Amino acid sequence: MMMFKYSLKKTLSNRMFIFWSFVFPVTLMFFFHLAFSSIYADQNTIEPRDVGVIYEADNPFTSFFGTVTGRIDVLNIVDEDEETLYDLLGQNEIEGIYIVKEDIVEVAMCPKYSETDSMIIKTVADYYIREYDLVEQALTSGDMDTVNSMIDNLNSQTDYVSQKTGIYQEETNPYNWYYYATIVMGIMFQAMAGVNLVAELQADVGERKVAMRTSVSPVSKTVIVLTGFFSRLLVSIVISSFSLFCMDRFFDIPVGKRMPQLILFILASNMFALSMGEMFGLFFKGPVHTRGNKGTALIMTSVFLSGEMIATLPGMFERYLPIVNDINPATVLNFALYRLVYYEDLTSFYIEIVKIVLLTVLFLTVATMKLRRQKYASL
Amino acid sequence: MSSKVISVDNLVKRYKELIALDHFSMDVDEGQILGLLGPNGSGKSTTINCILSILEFDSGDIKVFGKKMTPKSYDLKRLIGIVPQEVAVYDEFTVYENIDFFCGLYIKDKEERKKLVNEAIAFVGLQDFVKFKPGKLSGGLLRRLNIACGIAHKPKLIFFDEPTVAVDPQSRNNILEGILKLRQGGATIVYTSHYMEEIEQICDRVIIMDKGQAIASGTVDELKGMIKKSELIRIEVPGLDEDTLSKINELKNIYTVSYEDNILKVEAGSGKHNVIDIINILQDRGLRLKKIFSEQPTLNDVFLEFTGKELRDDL
Repeated sequence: MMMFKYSLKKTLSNRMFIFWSFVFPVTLMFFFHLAFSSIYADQNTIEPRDVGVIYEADNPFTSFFGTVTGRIDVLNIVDEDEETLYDLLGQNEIEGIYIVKEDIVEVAMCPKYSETDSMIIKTVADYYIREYDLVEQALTSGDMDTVNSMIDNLNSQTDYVSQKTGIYQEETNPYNWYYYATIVMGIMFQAMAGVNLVAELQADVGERKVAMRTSVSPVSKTVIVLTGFFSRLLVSIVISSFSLFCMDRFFDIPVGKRMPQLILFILASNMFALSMGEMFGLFFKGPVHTRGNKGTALIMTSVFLSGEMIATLPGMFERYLPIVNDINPATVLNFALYRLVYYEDLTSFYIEIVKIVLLTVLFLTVATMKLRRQKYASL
Repeated sequence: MSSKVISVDNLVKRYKELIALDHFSMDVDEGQILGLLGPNGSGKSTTINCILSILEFDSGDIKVFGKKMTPKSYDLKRLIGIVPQEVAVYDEFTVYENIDFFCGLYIKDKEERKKLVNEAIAFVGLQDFVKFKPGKLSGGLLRRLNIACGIAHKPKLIFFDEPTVAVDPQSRNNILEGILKLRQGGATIVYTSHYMEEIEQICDRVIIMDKGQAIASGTVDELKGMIKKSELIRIEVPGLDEDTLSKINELKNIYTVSYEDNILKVEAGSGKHNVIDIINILQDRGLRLKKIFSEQPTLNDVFLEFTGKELRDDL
C-alpha cells in the first residue's frame, strides 16, 4: 500500500506526463472547438430563402404550387402583391419570385443573387414541373402519400451528407475525427509512464539511480513492477476518462451511450499505451529522457498518420495502403473509438479492441522477459 | 571471536574482454569498518554490486551472514543498507517522503517506520529540511539525504560506495563521524573510496585494489609496514657534532643520517618511536631543538610501491 501510494504520487508529480497526456490534448481540443465548432453547422445548414409567388393562371397546376412551396423548409414565402414583390426583389429584400403560369414556372432572381440562392430556387421549380404529372395523378386519385413523398424529396435535397441508415447511430461529423485523434494522442502519451516505470528498475537509466536501492531491497521485482504498473494505470484511466468527459461536456463531441464498451476501450487503450511505454524504456538506448524523447517521436508519427492533422489521411491509406492503418496503433485506437461512438454494429469495434489487447499481451510478455534478465549495475 | 559478515572467495567478473574482478577474495568481520581503496575502475563498485547480487559474476563464491547471497535472498537483503555513489532519491518526493519510501521497502509497520525515519533524519541532521524536495538541497545536504535513505531501516551491514565524492570538507567530516557512530551502534560497514585520508581515518582494515585484484590488505599500520619507504624526520638543531650523529645512526630502523645548515635529516624505517628516540638523544646532550618535522608514509606510498603508480594519478 505504501509503495502504491508513493507510486501514485510519483506519477501525479510528473509534470511532463500530465502535460502530454492531459493538458496538451484538452488545450488542443479547445482550439479545435474554436476553429471547427461552427464550420460543420454552417456547411450543412441552409437558411430559408425569401421568395414571392405571382400566379398568372388559375388551374390545378398553379393552385397546388402554392401548397407545395408552403411546405418546403428552404423557402420562406413572402405574401405580398405583385408590385410590392417586384420592389422587394429590386432592393434585394427577397431572393426570387416564382411566376406561375398555366403549366410552367418562371423564376426571377434579385440583382445580387448568389449561386446557392439560384440553385435552391430553381431546383424547386424544376422538380415541381418535372414531377407534376405524378402529382396530378395523385391528386386526381386522392393519393396523398405520393404528394407528401414528393415534398419530402424536395426537402431532403438540402442535405449534403447522405447517411446510410443502419450503419451510424449518431450523426457523423468529419471534424469530430480531430477530437477523437486528440483523445487517442493523450492516451498514447500515457506511454511516458511506462518508460518511467522500467527506468526505475534500471540503475543505469534513471535520472536518479534509485533502481540500485529498490534492487537491493527485500521487495521482489514482480511486486515493484506490478505496483508501478497498476498505480500508473489508475492515473492513466482517470486522465483519459476526464479528457473524454471534457470532450463530451465542454466541446459537445459525442462519446456515445455505450458505457461498458467505453470503459473497455479506456482500459484496453491505456494498458496498451503503458505496455508500449515499457517497450520504449527497455529497447531504446540512452538515459531515461532520451528514451522518452524517442518514444515521443514515434507517438507523434503514429498520431499524425492516424489523422490528427489531416483527417483524410487514414481514408487515403485505406484506399492505397491499408496495411498502414492496420499496424498503426493510433489509427487502430481511433477506429475503435470512432466505431464505438457511431456504428450501430459493434463487430468492427471489437475487432480493433482484440488487436489492441493482443498487442498489449505481446508487449507485456516481452517486457517481463526482458526485465527478468536485466542486469542493473554498470562498471 | 567475531563472526564473518561477508565472505568473498575467488570472485571473477568479466565485461567481455575486460576482467573487472580477477580472483578477488575478502572477508569482513562483524562490527568492522572495511575500506576498499583503489583508483576508479579498480573493481570496488563491481565488488559491492556482486555482493549485493545486482550483478552476475562469472565464478567465485559470496556469503553474507554465513549464507549464500542470491537475487532472491530477501531475508539477507533485509539486513543490508546501501549508500550508492550517486545520490539515489526521487526528485518528486520531499526529504521525509524519500526516507519514508526507502525505509518502507524494509519496514511495513507504519508506526515503527515513522520512528525510524525521524531517527534517520536526526542522525543526518536534516530536521530543518524535511519538507524540502531534493532539487532545493545543496550537494552536502543531498549526500546526507542519500545516507539517511540507506540507513533508516537500521541495517546490520551497510555499504558506503564513495559517499563523499564532491562533498565539502565540513560535510565530509560529518559523514565520516556518522559512519563511526553507526559502527558504534553495531553495524558492519564496507566503505569504498579513492580518498586515502578517509580510509586511514575510519577503517579498521583496508584492502587496496587495482585492476580487479586485492594487491594488499591489513590495518593501515600493517600496510605501511609492508613497504620500504621510510619515515623522513627533519629537526632544526644547531651545533650537532659527529658523535651525536653516529649515536643516532646506531638506532634501530635508521637508514641514513645527514646534517647540513643546522638541519638534521634522518630516513627511518617503519616504527612508532623513531622521532622520540632521536629527540631523547639530542636532549640528553643538551641541544636546543627549534623545529621538528616528521613525514610518515601514506597509503599512496603503499599503492605506489605495489603498483608502480600513484593512487592520485587516476583520480
